[in-house]
Amino acid sequence: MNGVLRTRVGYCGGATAHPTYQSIGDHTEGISIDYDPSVLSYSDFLTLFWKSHSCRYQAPSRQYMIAVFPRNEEQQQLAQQSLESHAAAQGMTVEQVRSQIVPIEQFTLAEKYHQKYAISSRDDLRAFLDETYPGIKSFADSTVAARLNGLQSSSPEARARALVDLTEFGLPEVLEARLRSGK
Amino acid sequence: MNSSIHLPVENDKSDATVLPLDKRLSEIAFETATFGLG
Repeated sequence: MNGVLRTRVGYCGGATAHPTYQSIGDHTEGISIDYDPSVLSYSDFLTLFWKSHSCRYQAPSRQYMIAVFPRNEEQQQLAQQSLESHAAAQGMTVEQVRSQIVPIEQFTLAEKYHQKYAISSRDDLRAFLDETYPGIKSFADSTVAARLNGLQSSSPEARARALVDLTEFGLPEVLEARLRSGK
Repeated sequence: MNSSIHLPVENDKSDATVLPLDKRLSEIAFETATFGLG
């Protein structure tokens, strides 16, 4: 989406200290999206959220909960309003909606191997990015890594977007040429 | 060793500033939306 700056995956919404994939406690697997508010609004994401799933679906566990995680009072109010509007449009009461709204104060980054997962199958990309961003935080924050991840994905839109922007990534010439040739 | 990195929701400025595109985007004011998608 135009206006998305960064994406990260991690754990949030629970009280257990130091969640990890192997010991997630009462947290939920989540995605955190940084966006340019001059291009996108929080309500744009809420609209996409409600379109992307059935609010009647009961998640099998808290780990896989479908939820909005508001980060402040303004987001909380917008999320609640969107839930009420969506329930009404579905002919449901708010209580019948299974999707949750859970305020958060902290987001814990998932392990590095969970970030930009599609890159893991490309040794050359992985080596370049590991050298450029050896730490998990900088790697997770990298939009170049996210776009290269899209290039490895099956999404035609993500691949096309990455190829258009490739010269801006600052890759070594050999690596850029290899990607352009589809190798 | 537990290598988890916890980001306070009001202070998760980008650390990716080596590559030119990342650096340019790191300087843009941003907001954050967080979801669980099942």
